Amino acid sequence: MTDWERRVRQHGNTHGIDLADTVVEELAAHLEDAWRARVATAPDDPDAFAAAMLARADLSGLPRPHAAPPPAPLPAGEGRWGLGLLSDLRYTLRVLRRAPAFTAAVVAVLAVGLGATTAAFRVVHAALIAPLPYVDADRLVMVFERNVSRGRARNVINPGNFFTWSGRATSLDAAGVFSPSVGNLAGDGATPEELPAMVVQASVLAMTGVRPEAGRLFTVQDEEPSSPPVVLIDGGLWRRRFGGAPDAVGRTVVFNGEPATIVGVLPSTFHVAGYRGDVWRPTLITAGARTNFRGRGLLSLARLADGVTREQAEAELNGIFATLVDEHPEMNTGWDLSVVPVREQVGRETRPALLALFGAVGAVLLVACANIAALLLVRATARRHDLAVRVTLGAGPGQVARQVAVECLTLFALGGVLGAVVAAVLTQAMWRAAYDAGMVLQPEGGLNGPALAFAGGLTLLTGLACSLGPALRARRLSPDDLKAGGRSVAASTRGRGWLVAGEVAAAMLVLSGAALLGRSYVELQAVDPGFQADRVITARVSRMGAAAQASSLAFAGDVIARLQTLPGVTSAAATSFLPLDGQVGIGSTFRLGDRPDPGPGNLPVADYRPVTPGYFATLGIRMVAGRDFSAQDVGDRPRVAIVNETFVRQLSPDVSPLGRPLADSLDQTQEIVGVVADIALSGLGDDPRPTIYLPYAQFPVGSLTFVVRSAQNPALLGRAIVGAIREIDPNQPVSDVQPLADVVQASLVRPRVVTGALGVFGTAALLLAAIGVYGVVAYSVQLRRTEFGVRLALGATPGAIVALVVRQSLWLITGGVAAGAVLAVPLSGTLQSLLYGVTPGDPATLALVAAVIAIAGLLASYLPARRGTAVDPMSALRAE
Amino acid sequence: MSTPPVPADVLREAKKGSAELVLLALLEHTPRHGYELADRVEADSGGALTYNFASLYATLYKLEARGWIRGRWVEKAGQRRRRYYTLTPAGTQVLARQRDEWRQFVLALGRIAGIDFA
Repeated sequence: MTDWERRVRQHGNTHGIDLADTVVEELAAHLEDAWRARVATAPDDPDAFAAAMLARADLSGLPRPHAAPPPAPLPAGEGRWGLGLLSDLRYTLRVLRRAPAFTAAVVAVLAVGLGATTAAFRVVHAALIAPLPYVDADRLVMVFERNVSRGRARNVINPGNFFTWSGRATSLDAAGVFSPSVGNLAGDGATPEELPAMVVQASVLAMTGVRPEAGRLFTVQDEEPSSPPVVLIDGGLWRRRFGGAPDAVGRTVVFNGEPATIVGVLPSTFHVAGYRGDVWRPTLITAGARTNFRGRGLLSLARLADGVTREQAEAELNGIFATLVDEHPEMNTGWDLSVVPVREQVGRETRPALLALFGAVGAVLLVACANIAALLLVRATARRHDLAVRVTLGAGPGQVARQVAVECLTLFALGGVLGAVVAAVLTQAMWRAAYDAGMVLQPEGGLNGPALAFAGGLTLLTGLACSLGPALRARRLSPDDLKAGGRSVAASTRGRGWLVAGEVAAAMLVLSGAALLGRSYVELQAVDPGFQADRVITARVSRMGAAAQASSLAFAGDVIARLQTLPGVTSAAATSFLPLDGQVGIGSTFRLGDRPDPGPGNLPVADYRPVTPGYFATLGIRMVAGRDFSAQDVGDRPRVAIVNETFVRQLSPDVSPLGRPLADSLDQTQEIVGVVADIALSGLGDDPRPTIYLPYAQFPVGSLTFVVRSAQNPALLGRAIVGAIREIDPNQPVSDVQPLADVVQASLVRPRVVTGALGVFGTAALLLAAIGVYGVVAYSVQLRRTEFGVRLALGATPGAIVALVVRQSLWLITGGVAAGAVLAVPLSGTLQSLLYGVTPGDPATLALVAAVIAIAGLLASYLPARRGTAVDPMSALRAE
Repeated sequence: MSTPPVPADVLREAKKGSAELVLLALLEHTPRHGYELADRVEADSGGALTYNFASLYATLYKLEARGWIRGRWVEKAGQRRRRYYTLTPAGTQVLARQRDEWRQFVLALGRIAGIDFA
């Protein structure tokens, strides 16, 4: 202690005043300065001068040590950040423990919101974003044949074309063909079963870089017709049917009626551009295959050469294809090639639905965060007294803001951790739903690296965003805020108002999407498929292998005859492609034989459907003109065909089609003997296309689906039908035994799942937005209690108060609904491919949703408004 | 330039009331420590205003508790450390307000009491 400090302390002690050390230091400095100044100007006794100054000093107004101000000196700058953060964290945990209900509510809402979004991301990422499990996946492409005028953007390709351009192309390092199929597996003691299969060239497997779990892959030798037949099996099938035994490799099985050796096991997650199979066969390249310029049915995979872009490859291939058009005009006129990266092709169909779902989940999270941000703002306002004291005690604005931010971020961190648990659970449910709706190939596992990173990033982002408002507000606190009321309260209410308007807009968006999809689904359900699905049961068999196919005609006849004897059965028949079961079926060009040939590029296209006699009656399809097929329409008799109403409308509107000749792409001619009503073939929402039905006896192609109409509940017939089929051929696997009504419902599974999910999310968003409105109005009513008391005392009716409050919240709701509606119109355009019978941005639907939200919002503001009228005017006046 | 000394009793209350304004004004553009402030007050007022140094610090601490000024210890080479005060944004607003109020008060006083100002 210097001399001056000692003297100041002494002076204080003389008067019984104990001073803080820093005060003493400051006074001492002042005295010293005064003394120096005195020395410089008037050298006569500066000591006496200073002593006199001190003697005159009145120390009573100066702070004592225990009162704290002036605050303890800080080093230059504003506190050491590291230690500050730790103490903020400790303080936060204390504060949160003191408000368990608030903390639990916020953490719970966050956990659900963050968890659901993370689970949705897991699925979307795997389906649309994750790199495909191939070596150099971004260099792999698919090559399609494209016919723009027919609307075929990605059509299967012709083998002759493929071998020509793949042989000549320099822009491709490798190319191969494959096609999905089905196959019957038998011969290893287990029940024969029909399984998804893939027919694939060895080069395709090589291009993907896949490594077998056991054994080997196909080689080029396996593709020779003279080589011994081999198959690869899927890892899942290996474990399920062969017990994962290592000696399964090398075993002989009967596949499609022929013995084949298992040479290897593929990983169960393996697929080629989204196509997979339980059993894989090598493509058999016969001499005829290379020059087969009839028919399209293959898919192709290719690898771009180093440094070649997709556009360059497409240009080169189309240069080659131009010569193919010249050489084979009847096959190729109007067609060209399109090269599509595999990543783009996989998930193409499911992208709109998946993104719509992800967007909806994200919107719910946003609404939840907005609610939490509003809650945090209210809490910050309520705690401003607490924080203002800190400011008074010397905390800088940065420190206070940091403390508030730490509190918000801690809540979000807790919510994020709990959210990861929620996500792990929800992910399983999401996989299930997506798989059932056909949006993913197979369910995968729980949270992976990208999903966890997403969860962490999302938690941080939302936490920072929600803490911004309260932290900035805290920065502006001053000791003035120790007084009641103040501008900070009004600003907080305004901020919350904006947040809630935003929530209402988000709810409007999601609910609009849900409503549009819902209307679309209702329209789809109401579509008349053109046949009577009730009381019909179906069962499918695939006659695979040369022997089975040779006898398929006799087999079909025998089975139908047997089915017709089952009790309760009123009629039975068969078709190659059941309507609405998801199979693509056969499509081909044709021409009317009594008209001039329009030229190869202008031939009309129709769906071909082989059926047996009695098919139309069994399915309840209306016969419009002419006759059904009969037992006389067999292979060595004149060929006949039945067409549908769309065919007539488009191709024979003025002349009755009966008796007119049809020539198909194989140059076979059929005489049209009947016309039937249109039915839904591929999807309930699709426009009908010209359809040509042929007698199965004259065109025995494809797998067979038996259809049986019964007088009783058709589901009871399932086992009898399987039994009847097994009687005729014990080794024939039977699959998909189900009522036709289930087939029709299953064709709607994806719209159903998407609509249902969006409905759930939309309702959640509306609920949260309503809670937000309720909160804002309740808080504002509470602030205005005194005002209401005064109004009531001055004669206002409770109804008038309620009307006042509700009118003011109407602004908030209207603004939110309007903003949501404006956004909904363009955004609903992304749902276009999912909608049927309703346009995106349909005004009636949007108006209905707006009305629902407005009513919910008004109700949410009416309830607290009513409580505001319960103020006792006299006590309100007294408080004033 | 010397002015006649002002009778102490007339202006004692005025001095007390104006202390805050004076200190805030002196801190408007430059950080200063306590002795510097006392020195400037005396010099700029031509000796008309002086403060007992203890009550000067009492006022400074009061201003600091209200958040209108902020004090920081600064150590310069070769000197003892001193506490420098600066005006906060809140203090700037208060200064402006007090200036207005004093201006109006003084004008009113002038009209009523017939005081002329240069």
